[in-house]
Parts: sequence; C-alpha cells; structure tokens
Amino acid sequence: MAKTSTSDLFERALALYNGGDFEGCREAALQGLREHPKDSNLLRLAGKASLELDLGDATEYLEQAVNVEPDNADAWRELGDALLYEGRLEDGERAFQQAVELRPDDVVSLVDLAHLAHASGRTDAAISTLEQALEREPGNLAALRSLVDMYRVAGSLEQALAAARQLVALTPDDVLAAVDVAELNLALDRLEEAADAFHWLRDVDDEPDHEVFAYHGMIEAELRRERWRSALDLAVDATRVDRYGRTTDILAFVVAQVFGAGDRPAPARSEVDDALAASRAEHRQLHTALVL
Amino acid sequence: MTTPKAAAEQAQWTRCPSCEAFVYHKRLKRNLGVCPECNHHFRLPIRERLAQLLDEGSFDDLSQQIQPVDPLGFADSKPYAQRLEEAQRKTGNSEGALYGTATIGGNPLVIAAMDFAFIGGSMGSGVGEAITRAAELALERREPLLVISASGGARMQEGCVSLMQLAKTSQAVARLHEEGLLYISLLTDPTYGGVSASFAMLGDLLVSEPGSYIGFAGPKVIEQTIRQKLPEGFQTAGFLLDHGQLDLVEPRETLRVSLRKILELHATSGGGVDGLPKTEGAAPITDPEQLPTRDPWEIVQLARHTDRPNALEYISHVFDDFQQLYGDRLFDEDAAIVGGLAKLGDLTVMVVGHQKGHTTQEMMERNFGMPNPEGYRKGLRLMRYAAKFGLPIVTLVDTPGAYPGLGAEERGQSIAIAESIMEMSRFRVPIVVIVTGEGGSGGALALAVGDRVLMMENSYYSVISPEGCSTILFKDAAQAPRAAAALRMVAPDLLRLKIMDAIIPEPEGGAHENPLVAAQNLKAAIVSCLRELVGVTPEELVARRYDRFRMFGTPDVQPVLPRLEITND
Repeated sequence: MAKTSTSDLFERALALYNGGDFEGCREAALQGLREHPKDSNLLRLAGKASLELDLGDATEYLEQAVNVEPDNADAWRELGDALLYEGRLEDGERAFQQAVELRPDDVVSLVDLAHLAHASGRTDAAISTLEQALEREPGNLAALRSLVDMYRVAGSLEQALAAARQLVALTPDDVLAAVDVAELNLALDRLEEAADAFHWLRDVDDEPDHEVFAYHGMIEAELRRERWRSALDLAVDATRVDRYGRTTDILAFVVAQVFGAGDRPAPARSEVDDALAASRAEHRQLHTALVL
Repeated sequence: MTTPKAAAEQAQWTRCPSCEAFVYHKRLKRNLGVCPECNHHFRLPIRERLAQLLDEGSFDDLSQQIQPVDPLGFADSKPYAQRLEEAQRKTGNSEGALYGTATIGGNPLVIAAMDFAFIGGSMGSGVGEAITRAAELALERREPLLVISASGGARMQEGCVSLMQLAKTSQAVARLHEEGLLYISLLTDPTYGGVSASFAMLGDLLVSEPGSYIGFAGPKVIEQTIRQKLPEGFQTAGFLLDHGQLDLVEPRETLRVSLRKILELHATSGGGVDGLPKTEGAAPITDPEQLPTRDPWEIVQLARHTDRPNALEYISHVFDDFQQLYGDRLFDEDAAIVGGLAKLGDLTVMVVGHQKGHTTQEMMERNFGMPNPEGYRKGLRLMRYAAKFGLPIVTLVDTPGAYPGLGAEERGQSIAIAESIMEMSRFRVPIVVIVTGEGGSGGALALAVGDRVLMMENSYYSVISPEGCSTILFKDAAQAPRAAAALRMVAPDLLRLKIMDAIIPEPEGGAHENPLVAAQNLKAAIVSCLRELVGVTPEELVARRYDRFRMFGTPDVQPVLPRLEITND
C-alpha cells in the first residue's frame, strides 16, 4: 500500500479540523506525527484538536510546536489560547507576548494581552495595549469593547465615553454600547446628553419589557436636574410599560416632590437612587449575552 | 454593517455580571458558561443548553411545524406580528420553545425547551403548543418528559389566549401523572409568572441551577405591595430549595450526570425479585426467645447513643446511587427527614428516614430528628412518588417524636402525621419499615405503616418516651427506667405483641460499635422482606397491610404479654 505523505496527512487533518471533525483531525495529525514528530503544522493541529476535544494534552503539542518553530506567531497565539483555556494566565501572557513580538499587528493577541495585564492588576498597561491594538486596526470591535470596559474600571470616564461613542458609530444596533454611552453621560453629569442617550436607547432596544429601563435613565437625568415635573411625566409614562412594578416607588417619590407628602410615606431619595442604579445594572445584565 | 451578535461573537473576554471579573471567553465555554471566579451561572442560549445536556446528535427537533398565532391582531409600539418576525430572525427559531426526542446517557426521552431570547421567554400559544405536544408525545411513546423553562411569564400580546396556555399545558402534564410517566422540570434562570404557575412547577422532579431566579410575582411588585425589603437571595433556587419547593439544585457541572442518574433509576425500576442483591448480613430473628435479655433502660440508652448510625449512613452502606430529594413543595425543607431514590441491586426503591446527627451542631441542624409537619409532608410526597412509579418503599425510623413546637402546631402537625399514616396504609407498593433507633410515638408511626415492620435489636418503639410516661403516670421523672420496662418498648416484647415482624441483630455492644456489620444485617433484612413482597399484587399488598394493622387490640387476636413484676428500685 502506498504510504500517505505528511503533506497529505496535514491537508486531511486540516480539512477535518475545518469541518469540525476534531477527533478525525487529531487522529490524522497523530498519524503524521508518528513519522514526523517535529512537524510543527501537525503538532499545532493535534494541539488545537485536543483543545476542542477538551483533552489534557493540547498545550503539550502546542508547546512542542513553538519549540520546533519559535518564530511562528500563530503557533504562539494558539499556545496562549490553550493556556488561557486552562486558566494558566501567566503562562498564557508570556505566549501572547511572544506572538505580539513576532507580529506586532496581531490585534487578537493584543486584546488578550490587555486583559491579562488587567487580571494581574496592571489596568494602565491594559489600556495602553488596547490603544495600541486600535492603532493597528482602528474599529476593531473586540478592542473597542474592551477599551470601554477598561477605561470604566480605571475611572477614566471621558475616555470611556469616547470609546463607547466610537462603538456606537460602528454598531448602531449594539444595545450594550448604547447603554454605555447613556450611563457614561449620566456618570459625567452631562444630563442633557444622558437624557438624549436614554431616549435613543428606547429606540435601539426593542426587547419586550426593556423600554422601562430607558425610561428610568431619562427619569434619573431629570431627577439629578431637579426637573420634577418632567420626571413626573416620564414616571407616569414609565408605569405604562412597566410590567413588574419597578417604577411605583420612583413615581411615589416624584409625586411627593411635585405635590408634597401624601398620606403614604414616599421613599427616600437614596432608595430611589438605589432603585435606579439597580435598574441600570439589571438592564446591562440582560444584555450581557453569552454566545458560546 | 456589523450586527450586535457579530460584535458579541468577536468578544474574547466576557465580564461576569456577578463578580465583574473579565473571563476568557473560551475558558467560560469550557466551564459550561459558569464563571470560574465566582461560580455565577450565566444564562445559556437554548442550543447550548441542549448540547450540554443531551447525547450528541440525539436531538430530533419536531418543532418546525409550530408557528405563532396573533389572535388579537395586537400592536403596541409595533405590531405583534412584527415582533414575532424580529424574534424569529434573531433566534432562528419559529417560536419561543423547541421540542423533540433525544437521549441522555442513552436513555430516551421527550424534551421541550424554552428560549429566553425569544420575546423574553414569554409563553404564548406557540410555546404552549410545543410544551403540550411534547407531553402528548411522551404519553404516546411512554417515555419520560424533560421540560426546560426560562420565562418572564405569559405573553401579553396574545391576551387571554396566552393565559389559557397555563391550563392547556397543565392538563397535558396531568395526563402524564395519571399514566405514571416521569416528568422532570428543569427551571432555569429566570422562570416567572404564568410558566412557573403552570407546567414548570408540575414536574415529578423540580430541578434548578444555583442562583436561578424563580417565582410567581416579581420581587419589586412584592416589595411595593408589602412595603418591606426582601431578604437576600429571595426567589433564588437556593431560597426555593430551603422553602421546600425544589427537589434539587444542581450545579451545571453535574446537571447532566444527575439527570442521567434519575432517568436510569426510573428506566430500571422494574428489576423485580431477581434484581435483588445477595447479602452477607445475619438473618433477622423472629423468635423472641433467641434474643438476648437486656434491661430496657439500657436499650433506650443504646438507641439514643450519639454514635449510633443514622439514616444517611445506613443508606450509604445499604443502597447504591442514592439520589436525595428535598422539600415538601409547600413551605420548607425539613432536614429531620431525608429521602430519595436509590438502588438495591437492580431494584429502584424510595428510601425515607428520620435523620439525626452525631455532633451538637448536626443535631441542631436536624432538629434532633424531630420533624416538623414539613418533614412528614416531604416524606409523604416521596412515598406518593414511589407509589406513582410502582417503587417499593423502605423507611428508617429514628425519632424521639414529632417536634412539639408552636409553628408545628400552627402548620398542622397532627394533620401531617395523620395523613402520612393513612396514606401509607393504602399505597399499592411494598413498604418495609425498620426502626433503627428511637421509635417515638406518632412521629415514628408516621413513617412506620408497612407490610413488614422490623426493628434493630437495640432500638425501642413506644407510645411515649419513658421520661414522659414516668412523669405522667409515676409522677416522677426519675422513674424513667421503670417506665421503660413497663411500656414493653423493646424488641422481644414487641415481637411477642406482633408489633414487629422480626428483629435485626446488632454487633456486640450495639450498632455504633460496628456500623458496617449493622448495615449489612439491615440490608439482609430489607432484601429478605422485599423478596417476600415484590411480586405480590397491589391489591393483595393493601389487603394484607389492612389485616396487619386491623389485628392490633382486637380481642382474642391481639397477643397479651404476661404481667411484669417491676419494683420501684
């Protein structure tokens, strides 16, 4: 029987990998490695297939691959990926650093490096890495999204807002980005802009029962400006779309401000502020979709 | 233009909404969507949920035919028909629930799963149709039904037609109950309103994941109605478990394994006599003369010994694959009674028992083995479950008595005990009762109406504690040893009185001296009883059980013991 060449085995393994047949891919790669144990392409495929199959030897193959071919940026990135998959953050960071040194425009690795820097308490380094990523690829969504988050963590709200606006410009339907713009305006006390942003959020977020969250943002902007009458109109409107009674206390508070205390004690301002903050958090959580 | 979904797919890191840590997306995926930092269970897309639970490639989706209806021609800020189209585009599904056939660990079942991404998991006619068809298919195929819920409630846009889905789905699962088919309901985050108040809470088994929010009314509505702050964790799965409303809260990591185990326990429940294991323990004793003579008060002390094996320890030695189930489905989870499904050889049984502890802390957690009404209602619920599926029942009795407390009385302690006694007398499955320690009065009898009633050699069974009897009848608490003897509460006398069918020997010095041997003897006794009972027709079982308890105190039938001479010393 004619012997299958390494190149044929690689092509076959690659086709199987791309087709989602990871077991077949791994088998073909290992078959090739029996004859050519130093073939970095086969080692990488064996490692990647093992990773998909959740087998413990993934990093072993990928480490061998970078040893064989230390100048291959993709191989380092794949190793970093596998190490992060296993939760080995420090080792992963080293691998991504190698990948970026070899290929400075590797934005995916830069984003990972930024998060790893943040995970080890170096948020400033994370921000600078993300800025670097965006210089390389302006408009990279993963980098922009991460930058918004990192600026927020660092308390750099102006910069976070600027990044969030860019994100909105690129993805006008991205509700989370719209939430960021609205919330950041609120946090920066730009109440007119915040009110507009929450108003706009009403149109962007067409999920049933979500309209109330946008109303709450608009009410919050009015409360901060002490525009009670306007807050009252919004609160009355909000109750119309509020299926779960989230607005009742807020309305009671605003009514007390406009008309004076009634026979039922109104909630304190701090309680209303807490409720509005909780509403924002809930809305954000509802849009932190997990795409597995 | 890049869609939000595309943006999300490009995200390499996800921020945990609970601990706010950034988690590497692939690591999160590897961890089944559970945050590795804080164990927060992310909501899962429906397809991912099915991929995690079902055998690969086993799901045969039958829901393509289901199309939503717009019975009211409803429109709010946009027409309902348009909302439906948008939801269909977004999710790739025609409605908010899928149904079909599948396997878990090779066990066939019918499955229906709700998609929270489809108009907030609301239940309209399409969802109701999918759940109902799934239940009807399970009935037709005689297979278990698994329903996975995730819902904000009924779909307002369909008006009263959506409300009717509660009735439509509930009546469909009622037929499964009538036909003795297993229905497992997995309630995921969030399950509220019309879904929680219908099919989702009607499973034989109610299972959820940690941190899932489940309830009828939303917490804000409740807070604003009662004008009180709600407790931490209100309406989480843990809260519901503590309040007796769920059978299990299972981490995602072990959820599939648990579901598989439950399905297997049911798939092989008809093992019959041949499925019973061989045992090595000593045979139970039926001749009172063969029992050692011991001072009853000494036996009372042994029965109460803090090192004496308790129900969970016996269960771990005697049975395999114990799947503990919790809650009375009404008010509370009472840790003084434990129970669940287990294997005895190939035979699946339901085990229920009083549970004490060895340390003071354990004892307090278990209320010293003194159940509240919730405990008895849990026990009864589990026995009803066994009766529904034709599973033999084994009870392990070890209680000083039912808890004498204010709350217990308010919640109907007498009713709970009475109903348990009555229903046990009529269950159409074999019931084997073992008094393993203290058999304290009605609190013990509530788990002790069986076809065979046995006791461990150093246990006691009595209408009242010796201390109680001593105080009431002898007017002196110090006369408890005398009362213990007078009450004839230990093995030889109870055997002669026919209260007991047999006595299980204990190792020298008592069960606590060698719990393994005690458990082997217990196992031998249970197996020997079930050999006699499994295979007897339900009618015959119930008739014989009736006769067994009918005999007590009947003149000329009830054995009478010779008078005992007891001195005050």
